[in-house]
Amino acid sequence: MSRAWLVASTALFASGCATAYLQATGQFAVAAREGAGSLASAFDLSTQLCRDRADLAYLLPRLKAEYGAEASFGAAPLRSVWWTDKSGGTNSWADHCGAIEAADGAHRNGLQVIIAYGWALQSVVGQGQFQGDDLRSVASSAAQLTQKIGGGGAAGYTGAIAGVGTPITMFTDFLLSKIVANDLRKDIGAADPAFQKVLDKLLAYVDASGELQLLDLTETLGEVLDEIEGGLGAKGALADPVRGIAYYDFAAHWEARLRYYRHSIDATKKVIQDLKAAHNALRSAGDGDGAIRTDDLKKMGGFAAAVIADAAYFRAQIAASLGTP
Amino acid sequence: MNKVDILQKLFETRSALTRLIIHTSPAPGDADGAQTLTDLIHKREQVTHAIQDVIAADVKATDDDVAKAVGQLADANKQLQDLANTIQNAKTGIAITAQVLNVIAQVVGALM
Repeated sequence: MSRAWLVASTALFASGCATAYLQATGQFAVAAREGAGSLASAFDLSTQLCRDRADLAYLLPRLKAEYGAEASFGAAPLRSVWWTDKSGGTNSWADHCGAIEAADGAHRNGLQVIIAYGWALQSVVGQGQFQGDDLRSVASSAAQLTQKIGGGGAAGYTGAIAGVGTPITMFTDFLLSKIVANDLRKDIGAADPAFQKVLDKLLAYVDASGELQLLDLTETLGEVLDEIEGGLGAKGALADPVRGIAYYDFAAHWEARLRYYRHSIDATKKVIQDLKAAHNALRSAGDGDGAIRTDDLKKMGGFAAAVIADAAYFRAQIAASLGTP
Repeated sequence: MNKVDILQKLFETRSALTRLIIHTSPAPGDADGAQTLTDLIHKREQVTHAIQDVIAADVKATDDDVAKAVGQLADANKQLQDLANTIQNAKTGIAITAQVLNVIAQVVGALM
């Protein structure tokens, strides 16, 4: 048994806490770092989805040319200017996807403070205390960056960025204070509202930006495929095999992308929900000044193990295929 | 009623336009018909941009506002879906889509 562990557990025993609580906090700290760390690439998905939506939106009106109408690949706006073209609406795709990219970045900052929290708890478990200064630069730069993005020109997504910015700042304030083993139960209770709020905002963002964009991409792909099928020949007519196979390859490629996005969004939500449940159980186990609630500690262990397993799956199966489903 | 309900109605609008576009071809030399088809394709582009605006908008409209808009969109979609695939009907489709875009402009104005 290391001297640091002895110091920390002695301090906890002195305040009436059990070693089990300290061990559970250590387990949670690993889950927080692993879980939030694995999701960094997930908060680039909305930007990827936006670019894919933009690509299919370019293609959709140009397919009728195959059977002789006026809209064609030669019609304005040409591909070279289409990304910044505003003729169909008030925003170009560059504006729209740029705003989403800024929002993705703001939400990645939320993950950064969760990871910083994991390190802080690890420090308390290992050394008996955490000096707020240790993570000052990481936590405060995440909060400042989010405020800066929120103040920029992320039209339409400014509300989402501001929404995550406030709990990040609250959590950063918490991380800048000293946490000691003697007050660990109380500190975890104090951190819980901001912790839950940061993760709630991340979840809400995945629901709004991820789910809604995936819905649009799925619908647009359906219409693009309908257009191509319409061009391959009338009902009952045999298609040219070369064109038929090219169509099949195109459809299979895009369907694989849709499955990749679906898996990514589902896995991201599960990690976030399990992290929330794990912290809630840890807080509940140490609520008040009485004995530690061992049932809650067991629940925490289950959620933390799920987060670690999900994070490993995410890194191996989803992040590894990022952009190349 | 929320943004998803509005989006679903816009997807239905775009899908109805796509069906009309796929199955409508102007006769050779029919410049007016070709222009109508081009206009219809342009309207579908505008629906795509409207979808983009709704996705980006914050939800601040009341349930009543959203429910009213969804009802108006459903009526317009029903008219679009009932159109037979002819160039003459494509012109009607353009007019109906203009109404859809008008409803969305008001909703997005309330959402932003």
